[in-house]
Amino acid sequence: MDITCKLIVPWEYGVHIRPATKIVKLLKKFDSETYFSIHNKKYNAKKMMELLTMEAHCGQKIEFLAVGSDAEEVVEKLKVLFNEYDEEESQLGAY
Amino acid sequence: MEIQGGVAVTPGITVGKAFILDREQPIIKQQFIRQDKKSIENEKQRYLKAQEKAIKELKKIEKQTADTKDISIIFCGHRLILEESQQEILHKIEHHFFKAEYAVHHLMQTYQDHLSSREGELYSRRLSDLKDIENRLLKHLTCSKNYSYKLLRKPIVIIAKELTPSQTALLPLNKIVGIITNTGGQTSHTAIVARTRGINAIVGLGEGTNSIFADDTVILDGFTGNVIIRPTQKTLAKYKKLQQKQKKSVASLQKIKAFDTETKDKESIHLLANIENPSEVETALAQGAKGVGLYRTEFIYVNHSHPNEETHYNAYTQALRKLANRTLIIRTLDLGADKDFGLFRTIEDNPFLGCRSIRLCFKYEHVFRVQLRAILRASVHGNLSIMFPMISSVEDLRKAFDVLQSVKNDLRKENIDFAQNIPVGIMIEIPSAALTCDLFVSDVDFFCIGTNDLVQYTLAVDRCNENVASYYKFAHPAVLRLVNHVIQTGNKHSVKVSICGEISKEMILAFIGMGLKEFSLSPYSILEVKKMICGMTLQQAQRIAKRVLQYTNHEDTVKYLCKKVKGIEKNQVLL
Repeated sequence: MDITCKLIVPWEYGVHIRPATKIVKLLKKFDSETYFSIHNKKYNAKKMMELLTMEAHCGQKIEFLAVGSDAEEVVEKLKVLFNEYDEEESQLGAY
Repeated sequence: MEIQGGVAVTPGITVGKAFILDREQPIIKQQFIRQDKKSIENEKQRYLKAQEKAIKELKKIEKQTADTKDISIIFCGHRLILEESQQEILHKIEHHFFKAEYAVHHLMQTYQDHLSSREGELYSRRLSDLKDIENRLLKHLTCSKNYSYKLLRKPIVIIAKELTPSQTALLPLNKIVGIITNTGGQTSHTAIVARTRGINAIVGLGEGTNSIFADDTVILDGFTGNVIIRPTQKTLAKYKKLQQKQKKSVASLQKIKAFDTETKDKESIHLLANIENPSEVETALAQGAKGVGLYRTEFIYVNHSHPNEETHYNAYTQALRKLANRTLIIRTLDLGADKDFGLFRTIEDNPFLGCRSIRLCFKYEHVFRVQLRAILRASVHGNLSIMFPMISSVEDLRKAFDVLQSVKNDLRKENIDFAQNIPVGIMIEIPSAALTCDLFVSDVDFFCIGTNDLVQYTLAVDRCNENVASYYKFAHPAVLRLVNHVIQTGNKHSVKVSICGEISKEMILAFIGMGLKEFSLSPYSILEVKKMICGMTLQQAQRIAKRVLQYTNHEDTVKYLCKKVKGIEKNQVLL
């Protein structure tokens, strides 16, 4: 099953090491293949280095694609992650 | 692979496994491995081991920071990056034949280049994450630091920038067969330690040490100053053979212990030992020393940051008891310059020309007094002499005597016993003292020529600066004339003269010819020197000395002396 959704990058410093780690840790629990796409480029969402080099600033729209049997659940969980308001995070900034 | 240009401290061949104690963050060069299956597999395993260690370390940090989730997750991220880079790094090793360090650096560089092309602080943070990851991996690839010394098996070759006295104190010296350093020369701390302990060392190898990796098989060629790393079977066999031969000659040297140290024409020469620690007395005696001619007391500061009177007293008493009435010449604290030990840290532009040694003792007189009190108190336990270092003028000596006298008065007032008539001498290591040594003859019992510093001050060469190492010429006519002058003056006025310092047997031959009867040496050089003395005559040495004083340069002198020593050793039938 293929599912796509649009997400807005909530983190002040973009997808830096902390959110990237959270994303990868979450997605690795699922079988689906997962990708972000931005500026017509596709990035493997389970790879730290791809996320870190992806040009996604705070407030920017990015597209997420999940391919696999658990795709639906992946998207739901990822949406939660993107919507989480992280107080400590905003205080620490990008550390 | 052979690295040249090191300075051999002790002759001999040593083979061991490299242990990287410290090094500057290496500049990663483009380096390749051999393109065969075995080399590739070895390199992959080496990388995987380092990665495993790095991951383990990161997990530990994650755990330690677990209560601040937003910190600990960063290290989790580092770990994820490490894990996902594995495949690419192994690929670079397997298909591009990159050395593991280079493979890591290459990949991280690619990431970094990618990020650097973006602007803003956003990415600079990520860059520092990557740098951190790279450094962690490289650390585990190149350094052995996280090993426990206890786990190490003989034979170890220590690789370091330069061994500091405090590092040396922690090393398991019984497991170490060799030391290789980036900096330093014949008289650096590393060299002195190595000689005293009978460890082979090659110092001043420069950046060459960066090519040595943890657990590499390393051969130290103490005859040439070269280091061979990761030798082929053939090379290794060749050196092992040489090593065997050398062991045999060491064994034959032991036989000479039974003989008196005298020339063939029955001239007695006294060979004493230099020590840094009372525990070395046994070694010295086992090597045939007739006593201790130089006890470098400043090394008390290596094990005790604030030694008190009792610390000093116990050390001296211990040494005296072990020596059982043999001579012990205690040199008062010679701190500063290359032996600062972080105590009186004053930054000086020219530490060797600065407030060091006796000057430091005058400045911090209370420290000096503590030592003198301890020496005087210990004097009742044996045959002890006091020696003041770095004396440059009659005033220096006067000042030192005043303090000594005042400490003696204190002890008398307190009814504390000390030996009467303790011999007092001075180090002759500054040209001014050498030239005017006649001014001291009525006040002191002996002169001890400190060759290391005398060479440095006569020739204006910082002996710790490898840039001027080639100017450090111990057989320079100026040095020889000064030494000769001191010997003649001392002998004329019946003031005993000796030499302590790192000198070769070739120079000893010349100095015996000039009239010197006493030498204080590293314990492990004693038998070698004794062997030469037993094979020569005083007359022969006198002829040689006469000739040596006519030479105009260091090189000719050394060449001539080497030839003479070889001749003496060749004709030696007694062994």
